[in-house]
Amino acid sequence: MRNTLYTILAMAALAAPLSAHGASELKGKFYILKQCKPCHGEGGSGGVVTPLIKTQAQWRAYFKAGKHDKGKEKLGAHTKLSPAQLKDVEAFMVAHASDSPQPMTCGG
Amino acid sequence: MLHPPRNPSPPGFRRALQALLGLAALSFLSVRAQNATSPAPAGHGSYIKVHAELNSMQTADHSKFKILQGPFKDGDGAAVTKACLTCHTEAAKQVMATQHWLWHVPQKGLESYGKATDLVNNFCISIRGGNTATCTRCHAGYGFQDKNFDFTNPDNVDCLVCHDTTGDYEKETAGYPNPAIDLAEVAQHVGRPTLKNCGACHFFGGGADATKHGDLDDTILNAPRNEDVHMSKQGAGMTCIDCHVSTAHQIGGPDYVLPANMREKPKYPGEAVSRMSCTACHSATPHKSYILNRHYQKVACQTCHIPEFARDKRGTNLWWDWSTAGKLKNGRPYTTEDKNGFETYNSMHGDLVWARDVVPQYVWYDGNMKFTRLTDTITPPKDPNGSIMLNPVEGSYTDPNAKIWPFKFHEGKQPYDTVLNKLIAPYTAGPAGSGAFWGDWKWEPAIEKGMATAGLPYSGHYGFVRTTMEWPITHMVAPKEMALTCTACHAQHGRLAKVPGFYLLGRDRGTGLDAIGFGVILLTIVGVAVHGILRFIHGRH
Repeated sequence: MRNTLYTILAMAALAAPLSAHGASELKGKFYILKQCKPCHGEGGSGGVVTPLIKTQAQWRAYFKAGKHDKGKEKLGAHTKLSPAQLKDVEAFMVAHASDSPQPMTCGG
Repeated sequence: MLHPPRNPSPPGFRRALQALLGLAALSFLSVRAQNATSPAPAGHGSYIKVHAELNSMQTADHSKFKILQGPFKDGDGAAVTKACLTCHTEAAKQVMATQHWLWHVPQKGLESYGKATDLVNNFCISIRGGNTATCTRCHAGYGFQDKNFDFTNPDNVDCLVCHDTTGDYEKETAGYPNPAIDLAEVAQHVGRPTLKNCGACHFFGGGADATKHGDLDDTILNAPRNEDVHMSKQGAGMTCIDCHVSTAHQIGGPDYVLPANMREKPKYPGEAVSRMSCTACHSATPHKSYILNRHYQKVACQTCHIPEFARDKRGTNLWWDWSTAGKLKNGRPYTTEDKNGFETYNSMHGDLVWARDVVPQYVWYDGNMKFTRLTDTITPPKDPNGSIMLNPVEGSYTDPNAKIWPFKFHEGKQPYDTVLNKLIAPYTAGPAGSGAFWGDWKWEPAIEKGMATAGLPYSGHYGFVRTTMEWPITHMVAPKEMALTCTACHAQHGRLAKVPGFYLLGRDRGTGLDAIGFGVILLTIVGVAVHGILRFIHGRH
């Protein structure tokens, strides 16, 4: 019984981040890898972008503004990412921002 | 040069002339032998054409199969595997007999050898302490969360990680596919493994790119010829499986028992065998020089043809000090970097040293290693700078199978039980509040929980011990013009300065040979002087 309760609590804890924001940071990680990294990876033309370059609040503000390339264009216009997919990207950036509990560094 | 085997030397000028003629004849024959053994086509992307030809010969277009049209549920890799197995009925059974699946070698009576069991290293140490789900992102299966994983369920086999040709496939915790992947798209575009398939795990050994293997990292995907003459598209354009040939999903390569090149002997005529020794393609006499060809008796090809490893911007990890890990700034983990962009400290890992263009260390090696397990008792060195060798290699000059090989030596400090004298499997990868080191930054709970999860005894007392590992270097072969020249080794302080057990011309001094040489020179000078004096006297009189 106790184990079952723990299992339910654990599953709820795992599901919470998804249901609360309706977004998946795992999916976000994938979209970043495929859509953002070609320009924003090491040696890319857009400069290196990782979750660490902003705080959680800054990332939320960035996605709320919805602008890319220093405000020149609408975020997502240059990629194939849908608004729902952009939410996934935001979830990943916020989850691993510089002031997050799990800042994205390396390993782990 | 190395001391050659002794043959009876006939005395006299006539015999010496015969010997010289014989030497010339042997050189000629060695060139003939080289021509007779026609090596595989190589260089200038020749294998790229071979791969294209092989792909054009496929008899099935997977995009036309109804069962692969999907859609598959997000992240449901097992559903794809089920679909694959409807045609490839025996494939899962084959995969489930391999190390890619088992992560140890029970079929050879070595249950304790492998990642899934007791082997330990000085990078991420061990998966046993509760880190399984994080580490098994590189398991060729789905759902390897802990020791309760069902190794007998064929639906858990991950076909796509090795056979995806779209480049879109990514694995996450416990080996599940990323839920954003269009699994139907990947399943419809499967094919022979490429560098990217194998590299997705093997470039990232040790937890990140270029960490463990000094001769494998993701720069190989776009390497210039100078970095890797085989895998570079400007070079031969080879992929891993051109050498690591597989039979029934058994990928050719070393295991903990059998050295790599021992898999090259076919069991029956025509069996596809691996080509992991250079000689399998290049023959044992690839040089025009007889002297160079003779080196192969005691020197591995890699020794001269991989002058440095990590010949790229990534560098490789040489030092990993867990004893300094866990420092925080303002309660948060941090990293520091040197001027080259290499991490010098990471709260997760401790002090680190990375380097590029690393000169290997050279060791006698016959293809066998011993391994240290979590269950083995260690003897911590009394010298504070002393180190425990975790995987000592075997071989010596007198061993007929041993050659001088290049190695990456990886050093570090890792936790051990100071009472039981055994290495420790800590719980590192986990969130805050779990007791994991990367969550709570404390060793005591991380070690206690790790050893409890692993089911291993722990005295409650820990310390850190310096350890060393030896990693054979065999990839990143350089173009021949970059190979070492004679004086790299045949010198007093050359690359082989510390390799024991034999007389090396140009290196060794203080032997009787030097005395004989100097004696002959002295006698010559005396002879010339006496002769000159006699002629002078004779001329005067």
